[in-house]
Amino acid sequence: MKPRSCQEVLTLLSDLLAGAIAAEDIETVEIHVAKCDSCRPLAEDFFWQHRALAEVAAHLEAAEFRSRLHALLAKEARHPATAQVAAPFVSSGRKDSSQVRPSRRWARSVIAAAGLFVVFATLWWAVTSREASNPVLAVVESADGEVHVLAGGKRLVCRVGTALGSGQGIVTSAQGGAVTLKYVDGSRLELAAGGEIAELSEGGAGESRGKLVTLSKGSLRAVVVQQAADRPMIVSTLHADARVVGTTFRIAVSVGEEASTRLEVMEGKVRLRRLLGGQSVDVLAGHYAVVASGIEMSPKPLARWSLVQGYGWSVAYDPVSESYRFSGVNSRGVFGGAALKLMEVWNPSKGPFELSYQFDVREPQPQFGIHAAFQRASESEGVLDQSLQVQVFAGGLQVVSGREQVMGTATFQQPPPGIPATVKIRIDGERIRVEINGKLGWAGLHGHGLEGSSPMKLRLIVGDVAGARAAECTLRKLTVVSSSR
Amino acid sequence: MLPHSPSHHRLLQKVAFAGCSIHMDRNREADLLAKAKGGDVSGFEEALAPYLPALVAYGRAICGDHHAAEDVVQEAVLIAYRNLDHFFPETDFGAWLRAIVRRKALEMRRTLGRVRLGFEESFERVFEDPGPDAVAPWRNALTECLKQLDGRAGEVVRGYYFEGRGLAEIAAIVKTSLVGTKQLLYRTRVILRNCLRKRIGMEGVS
Repeated sequence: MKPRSCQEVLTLLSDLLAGAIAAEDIETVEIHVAKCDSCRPLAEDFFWQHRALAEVAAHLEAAEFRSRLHALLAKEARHPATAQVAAPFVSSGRKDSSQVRPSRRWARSVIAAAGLFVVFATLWWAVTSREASNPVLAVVESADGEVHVLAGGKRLVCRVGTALGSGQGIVTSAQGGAVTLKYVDGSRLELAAGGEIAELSEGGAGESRGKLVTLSKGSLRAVVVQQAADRPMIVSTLHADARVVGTTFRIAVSVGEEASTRLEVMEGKVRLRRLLGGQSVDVLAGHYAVVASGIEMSPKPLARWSLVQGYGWSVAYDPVSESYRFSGVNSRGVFGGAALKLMEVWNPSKGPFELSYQFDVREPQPQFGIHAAFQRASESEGVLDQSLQVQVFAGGLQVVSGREQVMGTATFQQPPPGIPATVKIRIDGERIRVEINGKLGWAGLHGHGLEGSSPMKLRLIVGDVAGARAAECTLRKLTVVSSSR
Repeated sequence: MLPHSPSHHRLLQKVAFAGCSIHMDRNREADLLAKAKGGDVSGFEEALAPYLPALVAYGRAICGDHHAAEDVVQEAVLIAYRNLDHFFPETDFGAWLRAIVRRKALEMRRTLGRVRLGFEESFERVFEDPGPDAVAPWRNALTECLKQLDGRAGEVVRGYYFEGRGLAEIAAIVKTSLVGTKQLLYRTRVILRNCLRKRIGMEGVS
């Protein structure tokens, strides 16, 4: 074992605390520190400092983290796990069978679609091969987490491409399940975690004529292509019917003591009819209405650019344009506020994975942009490693491998403020391709753990990598598409 | 492996006597946990809240990754909640939570394929008390010392601890090599250590 100076050893200890020490050096450092009277006090202070820094960092994110835990615990309280899980002082000794997966996928509803070709092919096959008595209404375009088809009182396994016929429904797990259904006409329904569509049907007569979607609970985002005026899509809840002939809207059903249905309209117009009493209102784009006991059902403007979260940096969300706007003060001295996790999604399909978005930065700065971290992951075991990072700044891009090597850089011409840059990142097996404004930015083989057979997890972070300047950024048209092979 | 730090504990006592303690009263905690056992989730959340930053920091120390640590703590919290009926009132709630986090974090570390942790006794001692008082004086002094870090020293600490970046990524940002970044982080730790010693009025600044 090579003798080391105190400074070398303490540098290695610093590496150890940063998780960047070679395995063969650990014992060297342990032995040296144990024997060296001059290193020991400094080493001990390093450990305390390490805890304090990590704790201050955690403290800065505490509000967001507590809010996630609150949601998780609330769901747990409503639907307690049937299996006990092992914990200290518990004699059962059983393993945690629930494998709770991260819940920071609050933005998972942005998952748009699996491969169009596969879907249409599946749909065509399904339509032509099923019995005419129960035609296919929609197919599962993407499914994330625990999702089941409801058919004949049973819960069936749901996969991408599963066809749903009349009378069938779908349910998503409260712990991160999400599903997108696609109708043959291209209309899409995105059911968020903890949601249930009791059934889909089509046909009917009179006022029920059209595509009927019975939403029992949860939040549903619908992008409905133009329907025949006499055959609208009707989303029916416990409290109301929403009738649409072509628009984008989100509808959420709360159950329990404060049961309600809330409708938010992004585009077009939706007619909302209260079941009790039968009153109707037209809800226009940029407005919402709530149907609940004791509340007047009148459309109100959606609060645009409402602050949703942030520390040091503020984040505003516009439900009408479905855009995120980030702004920050000079973060020098305001540690921990320089970057913000925007979303986290899971790609269980093991197929190609594509992320696209538009962003523009007021007063563009070279270091401000979007940072996408792709991680190889196992559905049962969690994230395995930090495999690949793609950082697109106002002035260029950088691809960093999981081994922390910069694999490639490129520059591009940032459009003037107000004109967004369009970014598309595609990972297919070991190939990665980054396009900016339709032109190739960088392409190559990453070869660092994102094998084609591995599912992936994506974290999207918006912020100033240098963390030194004030900045404002708007992020739009955020989509993540995964498809099975 | 490292000896206990009596000066650190003297400091903690000093701060506690000065009325800076934010640790929850044990009786209050017991009441909240009793309510939680009766189905009051908010009671559980309130009892849990003071420990969360330290639990995430502890998970991070073991996993070596801030995001993985949050996942670990999230899972541990659910396990604790589901097993609340098995929690004995006379047991230390923070220690119980820490034990669950430790087990899940070690599992995560294995999953992440990291090298062995090293200095386990030191980590255990430093995180022995997961309450917020344990590093209260460090936290307050750190806030001031961090403000004094400028340039690349500030960027490396901010990048690693507050933004969860890897050292290679930070190297690209501060435009230096990985080795240079490791040295910069070490130097920054020493600068911070000296600043902390000075601010909290401790002896033995080297």
